[in-house]
Amino acid sequence: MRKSYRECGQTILESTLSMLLLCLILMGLLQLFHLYVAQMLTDFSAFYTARSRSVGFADYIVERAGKALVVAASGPRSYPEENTSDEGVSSSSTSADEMMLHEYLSGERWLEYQYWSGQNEYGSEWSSRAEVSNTYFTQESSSLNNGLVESTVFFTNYPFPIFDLMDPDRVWFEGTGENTLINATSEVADYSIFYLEE
Amino acid sequence: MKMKSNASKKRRKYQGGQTLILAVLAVIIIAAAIVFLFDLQNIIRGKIKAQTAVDAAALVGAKWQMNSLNMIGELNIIKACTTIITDMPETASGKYSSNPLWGPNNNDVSCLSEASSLLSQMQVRIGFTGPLIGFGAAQQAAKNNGLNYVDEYCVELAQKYEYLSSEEGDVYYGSDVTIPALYGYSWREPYTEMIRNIMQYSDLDMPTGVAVNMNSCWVSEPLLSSDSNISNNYLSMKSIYTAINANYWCALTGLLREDFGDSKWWGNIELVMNSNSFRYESELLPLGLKYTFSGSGIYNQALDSGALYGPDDANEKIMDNSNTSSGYERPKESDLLHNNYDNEDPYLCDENGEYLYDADNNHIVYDAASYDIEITETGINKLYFINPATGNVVYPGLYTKDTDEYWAPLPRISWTVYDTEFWNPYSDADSDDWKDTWGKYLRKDFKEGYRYYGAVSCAGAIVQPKLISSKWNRLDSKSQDTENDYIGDALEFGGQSSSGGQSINQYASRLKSSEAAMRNGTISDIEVFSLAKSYGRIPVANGEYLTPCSVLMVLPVFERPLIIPVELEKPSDFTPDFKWAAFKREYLPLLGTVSNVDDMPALMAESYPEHWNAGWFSFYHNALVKLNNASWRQQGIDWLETVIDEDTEKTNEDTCNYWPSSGPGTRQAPSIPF
Repeated sequence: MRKSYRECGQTILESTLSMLLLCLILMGLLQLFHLYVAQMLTDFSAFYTARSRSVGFADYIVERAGKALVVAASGPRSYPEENTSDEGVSSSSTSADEMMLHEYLSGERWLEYQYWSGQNEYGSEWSSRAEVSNTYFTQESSSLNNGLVESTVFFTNYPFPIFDLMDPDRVWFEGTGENTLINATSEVADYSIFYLEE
Repeated sequence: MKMKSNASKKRRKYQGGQTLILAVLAVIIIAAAIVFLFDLQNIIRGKIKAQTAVDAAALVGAKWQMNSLNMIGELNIIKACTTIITDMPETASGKYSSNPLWGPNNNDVSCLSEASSLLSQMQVRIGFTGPLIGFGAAQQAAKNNGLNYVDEYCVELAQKYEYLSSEEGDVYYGSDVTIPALYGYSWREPYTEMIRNIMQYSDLDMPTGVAVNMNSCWVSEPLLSSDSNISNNYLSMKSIYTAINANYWCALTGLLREDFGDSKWWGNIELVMNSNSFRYESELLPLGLKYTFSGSGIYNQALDSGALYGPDDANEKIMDNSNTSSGYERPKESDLLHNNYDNEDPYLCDENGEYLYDADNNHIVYDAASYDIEITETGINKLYFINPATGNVVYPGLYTKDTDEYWAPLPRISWTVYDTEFWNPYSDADSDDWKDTWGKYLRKDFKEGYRYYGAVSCAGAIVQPKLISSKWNRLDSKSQDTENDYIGDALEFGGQSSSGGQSINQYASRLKSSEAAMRNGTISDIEVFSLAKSYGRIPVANGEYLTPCSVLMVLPVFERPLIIPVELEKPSDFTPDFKWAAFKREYLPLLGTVSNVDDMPALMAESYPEHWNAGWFSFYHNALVKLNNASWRQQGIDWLETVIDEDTEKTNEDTCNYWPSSGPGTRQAPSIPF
């Protein structure tokens, strides 16, 4: 009888531990997926940042173009604030986002997402750098005096809270938790070097 | 004891299943996440691939526009050279003769005019065939970069081909295959044949040649007209439908306050044909050219601008070669042909140099068969003849005024020129107009000589990647959902009392929004554009440059095609979205025939079952149903007019264009939509 009682507790304990472990693995995997989504969108953003720069857009538009493409990995919108009603500018829908991004790119409105400028608890920030690289010339492009635009786009302190559970002080894994860095680079031909002033 | 033991075993058995359920749940969630990642990767890869493909297509199109313009420009130069050389025969001593008897007579000028017409015919041929080659090459470039042909683009071009090749098109293109203005070139048959070949079209098969849509100016392009301002001002704007579906009131401030009346606020929408005159050049990737007979003015303008010959030898010119590295020396100024040539006919004048005119107020040309000319240094020359009986020189008291005393053929020469509707310089870089447009968008100003609007090559495509998550729609339907049921609704359990609950509701709302987009099939559509343009400029004196169109005559000055920002010169009616184009062509004209928007589903299912049943128009139809609802419109107006700050009386509408000065960055771009 005592043995049976112990077995019963053992099962509960095993089940609980198994569930905890499974939950941990599940949450961890989901956050890895989250990071991977951010990485893919950042790669895409790097391409478009470089392309925007290559056709001669001003720096602030290049930055907005890059930001617009990482919206899906930028956390909740902080300005204008989201709500769940179906009214007005703050509605949470992909169509409303599309319209607002359209206006943001053309300078008609201001948009802000939490991970763009350190507004979340981790202080996540997005930044980009697009510059003409004079050191990379192909044989063809050098004959055209046509360089490449190299862009680097990155999120710093991207949220990765699963490591908070494992390591509240975030010292186990360098480059994780508060220090999670997601970056991407891209190069495209610089067209504007031909028709815009130096 | 045995009973307890059985109960214990039973309990353990149930407890074991708990972990299994959790594990299965975890696997399902992870599988969904993997599917999502797979699809996202597919979409991003598709976007980059499609962008690269349309970039390549636009560049190739612009490359052939450049080739065509340069070839046409070369033929203009050949005309100019031929004209001058014909009029300036050299003597044995290598100098240009001042004796008019060495020069051509009026008959020679007529022959020259005919030669010019033949060259013009070649220019017209290039104007039709060059851009078409570019269009075909662009399709190949897009395919080489991974885009497949698009049925709808092929069908659209096939319809245009049918229109072009049938008698129906005679209204616009003319029934006679030989148009006099085109210098005898029978353009229509070879032109339609080229389009047919590009489409890879035969009577038996569907065309498969078109992978990207490119800018064109078809005279048969359908346009919409209505007696309702709402239709004319709003219903042809794609973004309006997005704003309506999203309840995005800020973009609807004007529309919501329109007078909708009691019924049929859209008016009688009709499809009209574009009645702009045919341009006599390829309608695909048009070059924007004109053919003119007013020869001397065109030539003189080019000459005076310094484009043909510069006033100094410090820079390259078109009609003399200063490229010493290639072994050529620029001719001395005195040897340049134009310095020994004037473009005036020898006309009769009085002894004071005043021209004489006939009864029709035209100049009187001198009779070269009857008189010789005694050249004087004053430019007013005496006419004489030799009496055959006496051998004496006789002066009849007639004078001519001309520097070279040769017939000027220029008024008989036709030139290919830029159509100022297409080609014109940007406004000056220092002007407010410039600062409000290009100057706001671009990093730097354009280089001198590149500030012009002209022929462009715009390419666009819609790609629909095959996504696993597109099966979502089927899952929804299997759960016996109605149109108004969404999984997102079921997850909206967070409540509004806590920030965590609100976050859950926000994510649920986004899920619902994504579901709706998946249902109407628009979420996976990848729409990409690219715009390329041929750049060139004309070097003149002192190292300065002119834009090509500042000299009206087309000259071979174009150097290379380059990608430019789409938003700045995209043709206004250009769209690669065939669903949107079909909506304008099929749905809206039919809407003009009914008085209730609810009648449309049955009517569309009967008239255009293929597109309607495929859901092409559901997004737009739903928006129109919404807009037709007076209470929904009032809801929007109420929101816009709601005061959110009693002190400043600021309304929601005031926040629509709000740009916080304290926020990062400043509002620098102009308020014109991309």
